[in-house]
Amino acid sequence: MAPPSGLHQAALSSDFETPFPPLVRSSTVPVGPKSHRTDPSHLAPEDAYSPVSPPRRTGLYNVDGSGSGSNAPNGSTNELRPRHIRRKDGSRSRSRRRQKRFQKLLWVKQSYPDNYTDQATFLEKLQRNPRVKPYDFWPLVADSTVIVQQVCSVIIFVVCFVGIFQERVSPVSVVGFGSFATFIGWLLWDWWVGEESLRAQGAMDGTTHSYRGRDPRPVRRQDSLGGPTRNASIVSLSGAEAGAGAGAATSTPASALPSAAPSPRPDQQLHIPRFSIGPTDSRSASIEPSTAAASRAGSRAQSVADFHEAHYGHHRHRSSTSSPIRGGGVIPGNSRLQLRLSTIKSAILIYFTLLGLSPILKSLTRSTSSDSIWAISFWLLAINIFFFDYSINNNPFTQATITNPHSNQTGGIVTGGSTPAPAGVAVRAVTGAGAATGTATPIPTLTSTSPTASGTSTPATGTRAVPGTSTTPTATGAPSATAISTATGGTAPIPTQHKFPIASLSTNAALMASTVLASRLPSTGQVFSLTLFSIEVFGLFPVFRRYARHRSFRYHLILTVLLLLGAGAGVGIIIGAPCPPPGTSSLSGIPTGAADIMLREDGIGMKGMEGMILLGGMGGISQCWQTWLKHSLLGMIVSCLIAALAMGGCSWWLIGLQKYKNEIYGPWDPARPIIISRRYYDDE
Amino acid sequence: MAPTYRIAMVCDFFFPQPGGIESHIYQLSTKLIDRGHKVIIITHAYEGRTGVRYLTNGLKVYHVPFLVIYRSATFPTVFSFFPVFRNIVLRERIDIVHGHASLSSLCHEAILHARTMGLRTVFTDHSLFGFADAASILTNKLLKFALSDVDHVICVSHTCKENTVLRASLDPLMVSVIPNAVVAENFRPLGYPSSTPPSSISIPTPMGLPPPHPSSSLTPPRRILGPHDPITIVVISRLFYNKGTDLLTAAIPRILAAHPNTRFIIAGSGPKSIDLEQMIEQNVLQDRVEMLGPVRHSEVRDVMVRGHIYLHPSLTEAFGTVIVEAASCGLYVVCTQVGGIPEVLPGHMTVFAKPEEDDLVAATGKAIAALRRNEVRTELFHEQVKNMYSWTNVAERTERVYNGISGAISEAEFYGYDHLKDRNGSNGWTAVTATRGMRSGVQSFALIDRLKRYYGCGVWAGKLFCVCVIIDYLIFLFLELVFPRERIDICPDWPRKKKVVDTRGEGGGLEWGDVEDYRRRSRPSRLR
Repeated sequence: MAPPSGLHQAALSSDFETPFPPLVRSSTVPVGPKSHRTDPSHLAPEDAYSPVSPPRRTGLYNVDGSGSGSNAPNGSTNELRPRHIRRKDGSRSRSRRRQKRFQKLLWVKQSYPDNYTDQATFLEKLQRNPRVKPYDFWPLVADSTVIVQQVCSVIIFVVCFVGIFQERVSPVSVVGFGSFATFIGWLLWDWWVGEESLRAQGAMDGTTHSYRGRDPRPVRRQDSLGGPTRNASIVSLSGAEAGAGAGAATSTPASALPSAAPSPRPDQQLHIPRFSIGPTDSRSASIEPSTAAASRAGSRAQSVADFHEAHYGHHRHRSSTSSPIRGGGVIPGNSRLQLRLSTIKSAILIYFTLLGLSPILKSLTRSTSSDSIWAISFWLLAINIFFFDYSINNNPFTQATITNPHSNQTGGIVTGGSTPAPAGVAVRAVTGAGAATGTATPIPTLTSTSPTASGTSTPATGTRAVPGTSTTPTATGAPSATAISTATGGTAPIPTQHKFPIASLSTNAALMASTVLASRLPSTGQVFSLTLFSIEVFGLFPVFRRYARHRSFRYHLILTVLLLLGAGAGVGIIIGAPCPPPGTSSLSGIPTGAADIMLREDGIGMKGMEGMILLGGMGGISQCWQTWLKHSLLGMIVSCLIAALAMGGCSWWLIGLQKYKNEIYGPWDPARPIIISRRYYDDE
Repeated sequence: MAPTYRIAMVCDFFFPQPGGIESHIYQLSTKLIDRGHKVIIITHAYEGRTGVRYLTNGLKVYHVPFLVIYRSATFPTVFSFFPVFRNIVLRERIDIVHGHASLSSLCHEAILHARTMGLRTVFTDHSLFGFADAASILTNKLLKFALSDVDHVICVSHTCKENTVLRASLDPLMVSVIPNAVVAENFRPLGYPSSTPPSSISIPTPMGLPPPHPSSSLTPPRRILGPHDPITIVVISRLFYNKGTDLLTAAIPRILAAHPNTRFIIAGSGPKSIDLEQMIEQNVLQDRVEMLGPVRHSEVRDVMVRGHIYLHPSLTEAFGTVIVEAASCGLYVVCTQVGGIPEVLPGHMTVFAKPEEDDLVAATGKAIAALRRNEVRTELFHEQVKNMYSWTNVAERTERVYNGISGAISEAEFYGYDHLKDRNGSNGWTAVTATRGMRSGVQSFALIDRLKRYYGCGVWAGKLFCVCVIIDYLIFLFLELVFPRERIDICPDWPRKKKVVDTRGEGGGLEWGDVEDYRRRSRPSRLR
């Protein structure tokens, strides 16, 4: 049983090698041979048996072929290269074989043994840390302010709860100042949006690059699930570019107005918080661009995409593209008025809903012991901090997609508030329903291929509110939406869709924490205040913060400092002894808490110090003022110190840790496909 | 007379489950048996397939009862396999344990126990792993554990070798590259004469290609494509993310739009097929894209011969047997330049693309244009591929590895120390001889030497691994006491006729190859 003679093989392979086009060097320049040891300080197995690893020596050659397999001839390099010293090989080392260059190829029969390791080409494509970009200290610190803001918000919320719980602060003052600050924030936001829309109208030209008409972005419309004003504003297709110049074609406010009877089932009503602030309300504005820029191809593709979404969309729920900023970029005066009106309307609705629900909320987890409540709320708030969407992205479109979830979730959460345990479930159902109904609308478009034709308006509120009816024919009855959905595929990138669930998790957790905490409060008014306040803090305030950061870094910084000071002062006061005797505490405690709140909320108003002094002068001055002032001052200083230490220290630490980074990349890694016409699929 | 060995192939993945590793093990085993070795296969029990089976040619398969957790990989219990394994090894008087596939915990355990029992071990790696994600990190650590004390490693491509060397911190010299092969007989182009009589195949042109005087009986007529003849592009792959289905989904409409008279045939199933279907509906391509769904391995050839171009958009691939099969069927191959794929086929059979949508479209366009100009002699591909890859060749090269680790080839010859001596003068030589006996080829079985090798695996892992090895050794001693060797029956070998080995070695009468063939024959030969 001798092995087959090498002669035959030799003949075969040498015949092989000649007729094929000669191989070429690869396109990549070899990096030179490297040690494969990743960590020289640790023992590797080969240290056990050989102090000298024989094959690993620096290569003599800087270039070697690696068989990229194209057809350019470069046979001449074979002769220029110094010959490799030949290894003996048992069966195949026939002396008449001429020594050839080792090639990293499998189809060539080579004159080298199988375990030959070519020093020039082995691991030539190994890359270490190719994508590492070093951090700089100050940008890192600046970026960490986002986290500080969120932590401070949570601290302030906790402080307010403690204040209410210990009856040092009147809940009415808390929620009053919170609402006041929210209102100011909204005004500011509205002003900013107006400014931006002016700028956008000047700058933008409705360039729509639809990619051969077959590039439907995964644009999701998000229906307002029974928010009566929203029915016609389902469309969300417009990129800001797409519709910038198209302001003239106003939407159909008639259908948008609350013609559909608001049958206030709880889940419908509860969705309104979504519109209680500006950002989400601008969705109606996105109608105009879509109608104006409607193009057949785009609409068709879109409808197909939506059809797809209607079927598969539950898995990949997308936040709507009806972004505040996108919409805001194109708002003409008329619809902005509409917008404001509807905002106010939603605010009032949510206010009264909450008022009605608060007795239920109060007794919901009453039977649970306080220890459990503290533990649960601690973990929920921790979840809120850890899963908050801190992504810094200056792209307004990104922002837009991010901001929506918050406002969206506020609605969902209140639903969950009635039953804290299934809150997440409720939210999921609600969002799923929104997705399904929203996308189900264009089905008639698909079949009839004349989207504008289906103009008969059916009040779709009833069917919409029912989750899971997306594919049933009843759910398709939002023809106005269909008509509007004839928009070109927006060209705006929609980058942050995956973040949606994370952000909603954070918001959900915080609102659930507030619901759970609210059950510790004795009176309905306190419960109402706390819940409303938590919606403001966790639902709306992040939107404002994000927008402020987008506007200018200076606002962001000011906001951070104010939040920090507020949180510090609040903690100082809470921790400090409750000095005032019971009689005076009720009197003077209120204004302090209020000032504290105001300070926290957005700092647009007065600063905490001024507020305290002002209120102190106003209220009955007691000795306590001094101690409280002292405590809050101390708290501020300490908080500033802690924040500076944490931000600086962590940044420095992170930079210091970079030297341990050792990423290895090579041809064995799965390639990252570059797909231009990326559609509706996510890559895992 | 070359030495013969008694080899145990150990892997979780074996027939009846279909797949590339499974057929690799089967083909290699039959070829090794043909070369006079004794081969048994140890795998875990599959449903309806338990106990001991004999396959064609006396290939014996032990189906060990084991808990299967995920995709027919067994649960990694480090020691529980030892008693059964020891029994089998002693019964069959195994010399060499050859494990396959880095995701098979059965294989890793077998290598550990085999070293404890003083056997030579070989490991074949079939897949590529990254270094970034958590799963890879864990797998790599386990691989490092298993391969700390292996005698030799075989990889299917050079890229795979680099990857394995990095993952397991191996000496590159103890890693051989031996590619997969195809049974070319099963992947004949359309109209190619079937060469079942061994006499006809024993004349294959040793001339290579392109044959100046092609033997008229073997070369099929050239297919001349007119400028408007339809060109069919075939894709056969599981429709997963890492197979590049996203790229495919993006590229198909553009390719079809740019090239009239082209159509696609897509075979395979997977989670991404929904995207493909969606793409087809959206672009109304139902008449130009045909989706066949899952096909059996035996039907792959029938699908392939319907096309002219094979498109392989995979994102990672250790070897890519399917493109060799496609080329063997006479298809022009368009593939992404990832993993080991660039090493597999010569440039005149393939068009490479970067894993980008644009480049894939462009490369396919290039291929279509080349076919339309009739520049590509696809009818010659089959003969060429047949000469490049054969299982007989793989078995020969594997045999050399066995020779090397068992000392039949001198260490110096196997690892090329003479080369070192020449280059380095006496210094290097003495350095190596000083550590002689601890070289990978002649890995010492002494426990302390083994512990030294395991200790280098990591700060904590090294100690943990050492503890494992010591426990394994204690179990071994215990088993020797409780189940002494003398009590274990020696299994008689499968009686065999003396076979005259075809000196040409390529193809011919030894091709048992076909999976279906195997199934057909194995059914009546159920002995126990």
